Amino acid sequence: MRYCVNSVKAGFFCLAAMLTAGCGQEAIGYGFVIKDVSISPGYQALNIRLQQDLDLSREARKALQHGVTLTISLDMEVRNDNNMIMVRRDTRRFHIRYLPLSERYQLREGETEKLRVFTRLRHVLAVIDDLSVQLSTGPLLPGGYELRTRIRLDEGLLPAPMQLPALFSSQWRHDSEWSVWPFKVSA
Amino acid sequence: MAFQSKRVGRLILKLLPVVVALVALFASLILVSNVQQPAPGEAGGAGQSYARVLVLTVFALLVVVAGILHRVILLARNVRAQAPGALLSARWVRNFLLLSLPPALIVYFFSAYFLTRTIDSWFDVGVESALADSLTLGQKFLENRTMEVRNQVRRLGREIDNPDDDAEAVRRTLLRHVSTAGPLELSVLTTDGRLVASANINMLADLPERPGDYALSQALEQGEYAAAEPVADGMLRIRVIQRLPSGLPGARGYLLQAIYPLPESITALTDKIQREYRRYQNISYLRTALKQSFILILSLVLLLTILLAILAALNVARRMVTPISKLALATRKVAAGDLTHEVPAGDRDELGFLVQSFNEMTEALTAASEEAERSRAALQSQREYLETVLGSLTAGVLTLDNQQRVVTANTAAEEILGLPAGFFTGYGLSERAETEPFLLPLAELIDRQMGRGPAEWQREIRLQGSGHDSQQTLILLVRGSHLGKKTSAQGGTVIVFDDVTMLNQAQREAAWAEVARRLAHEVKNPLTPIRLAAERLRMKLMDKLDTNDGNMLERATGTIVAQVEALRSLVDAFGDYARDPQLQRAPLALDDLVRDVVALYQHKDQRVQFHLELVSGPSGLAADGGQIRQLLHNLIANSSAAVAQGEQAEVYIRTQVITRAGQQWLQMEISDRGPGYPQTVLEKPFEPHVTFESGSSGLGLAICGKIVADHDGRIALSNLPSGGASTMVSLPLD
Repeated sequence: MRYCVNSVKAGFFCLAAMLTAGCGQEAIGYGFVIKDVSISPGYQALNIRLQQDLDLSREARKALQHGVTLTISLDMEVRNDNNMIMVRRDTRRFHIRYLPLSERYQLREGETEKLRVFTRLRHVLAVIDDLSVQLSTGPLLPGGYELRTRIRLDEGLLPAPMQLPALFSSQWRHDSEWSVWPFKVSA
Repeated sequence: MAFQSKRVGRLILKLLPVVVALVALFASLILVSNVQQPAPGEAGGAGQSYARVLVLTVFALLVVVAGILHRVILLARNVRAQAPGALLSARWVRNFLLLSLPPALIVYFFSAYFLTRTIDSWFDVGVESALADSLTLGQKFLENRTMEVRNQVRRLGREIDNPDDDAEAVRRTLLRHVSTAGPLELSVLTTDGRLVASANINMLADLPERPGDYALSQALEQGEYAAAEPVADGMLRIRVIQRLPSGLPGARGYLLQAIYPLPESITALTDKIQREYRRYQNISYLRTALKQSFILILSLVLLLTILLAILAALNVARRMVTPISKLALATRKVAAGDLTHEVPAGDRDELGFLVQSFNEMTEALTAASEEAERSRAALQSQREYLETVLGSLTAGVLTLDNQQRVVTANTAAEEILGLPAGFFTGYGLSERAETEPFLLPLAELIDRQMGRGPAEWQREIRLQGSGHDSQQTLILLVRGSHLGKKTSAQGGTVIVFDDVTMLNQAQREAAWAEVARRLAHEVKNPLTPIRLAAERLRMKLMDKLDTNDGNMLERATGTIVAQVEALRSLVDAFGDYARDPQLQRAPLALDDLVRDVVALYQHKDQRVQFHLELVSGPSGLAADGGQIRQLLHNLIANSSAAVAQGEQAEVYIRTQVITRAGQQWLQMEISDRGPGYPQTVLEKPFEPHVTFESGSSGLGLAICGKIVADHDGRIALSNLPSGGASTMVSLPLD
């Protein structure tokens, strides 16, 4: 019974800790930043090259080492800069997992079966750092547009027990926030 | 329609917290089930809704708390206002919580205990060690296998010619060495990863996959690269990259890449070991978070359960107490006399039966009340009728209870006795006799007769004085009758009395009138012969007698004639008294008549001084002027005669109009400052031959009494406290 009471106490304690965890920020050595985006309109699509700087926190690396799959989501939106009507919205997901037997990191893009294996985590992140994606938009009328991009560690895809702590912990805050990149489509 | 929509809205508001709480409870349970499946690396699906469900649960908590607060505030306000049923509701909620909280808390603590123990039991040092060892074993196997195939590739590398010389020969060499046991694929690449020649055991296979940058760099830097690599289907393969020896300095370098398969049985086992190891590591890593999540969700479930219990207690209490509150309210209204209030019928349970019984009771009460009201109205009507009858009676009626307290006294009783309305009611007769001593004979008579038993009785008593006049003599004919149990539940006595003073006097007057009439008839007839005989004697003998005898004859016959005249006057007075009234009523101005009579007296007798206070008229007096003149004459004569010869006489005449028992009366008082009436006169004031004056017939007051009685009036004699006699005459006005 004593153990039980202690557990309950610990539970409330942890809840309080979780709630207050977001207040203190660790010295930043991790996080996601979109450095540059170049856009070249193609046939009913946009060829986008994103240059990013991704680094994972100590807690995220530890989770990865302990078998937690991390998912990095790249959100993209194309809007007409006149009326801000959304033309296209897409999300690309990159799943990273650690394979203890071969001591390698596996990268899976989206829901495809295409796997890439890396011996180092930085190699995996380097792949995502420099991305070239094609965003299908359909025919775009000539005019001004803007591309909004955001890359983040998807906390909603963490294992259920980690989601609540992740909501309140800065160690799990990997979000570039939205950045806007205007471009024009000529006739 | 608006009423219905409002009702539906209120119902939704009532049910919302319960529904929300149930949804949140359900969601919490879903969370529990999700937390129990921490699939290593397979987060997703339900996991995505974790935060949403949590937010939903918190929102539900807030809604439920708001609902509870709202109800608790309402309940507290009702308790303070002492609303019907509020205290019962509060007690109900308290008891409900006292009953439901302990089991919930016990379940919570034991659940938390077993949960944490269960999670801890998942982790075992032996298991962890075994898994790690298994993984190490797998890694060792892969290393060994990798070493084997690396040696094979080294040997093969030495057999391959320089690709710059003959690429086709190189391809043939490669093709010769591929086999199903391995290598499956052999290829020669440039140092930048470009394919020069390749051979695959499967002739239809795609071109060889370019090795990763890391593998290439390793091969270039260290001369070879060999590692087991996972492939898409979860299988493992061994990739070996060997730098081929370069014959000439400055010539391009080449790499030999060989892909070796692993036996399926081995691959399946290593995959299984890896998967279990990852799962164990994952659970181990999530151990604390799991406990936190379980306890958090369990706490949420407990909190929701408790809040739901409170909500349920409040709702159930309200539902249970509402009919009781309505009944309490209705009882208050019924107690306040409102029997029309009906409690709406409830469910078909005991409370519903109680409500129905209450409504039936109020209906019965209403019927009984209406019946009682009808009876009361009938009784009141009967009472009013009886009072009217009693009030219209000329006889006085008193009803006494067994303690001789007067229960009712009619108007006539109070009027006869000259007492104010309500004088008797609630008092005993003896008690009232202390205030009005003239009632003492009546009280004694009734007391005496009631003491003798229930037989009816009748007596005539004389009361000396009354409420009207302390000098008046009242003669009452009193009859008593005992009220038996048949006529009155309380028992008692009814006393009926009549004022027979006038009747008594009238009888006496009639007797006196008969006497006077006979006396006048018998005496008047011989008077004339006696006078004539005396005058003849004087006339015949006067001349024949000497002077002395003549003088004696003259005195004797003079005396006879004078006495005969006196007798004649007396007989005339008796005649007047005995004569039947032949009133000639006509409107009469009493003030003028009084002034006429007074003028005559002032002229005739200077020693009489009059003081007049007369009301004008008054109108409405219909009387025989001659009779009233005689009345005035007699009374003024009495007042002036009462004063000794030579003394100044003062006569006061006052008139006023008064109202007595709804009837207007002209009241005339004639008083003087003389010695007053003797007691014998006051006792029998209007009886003939009672004189106090020498030379008077003694019929003056008797005639006055008769004249007043003929005019339906009242006359009373009294002596003034300051001295002097007072005669009060009351004549009715139309």
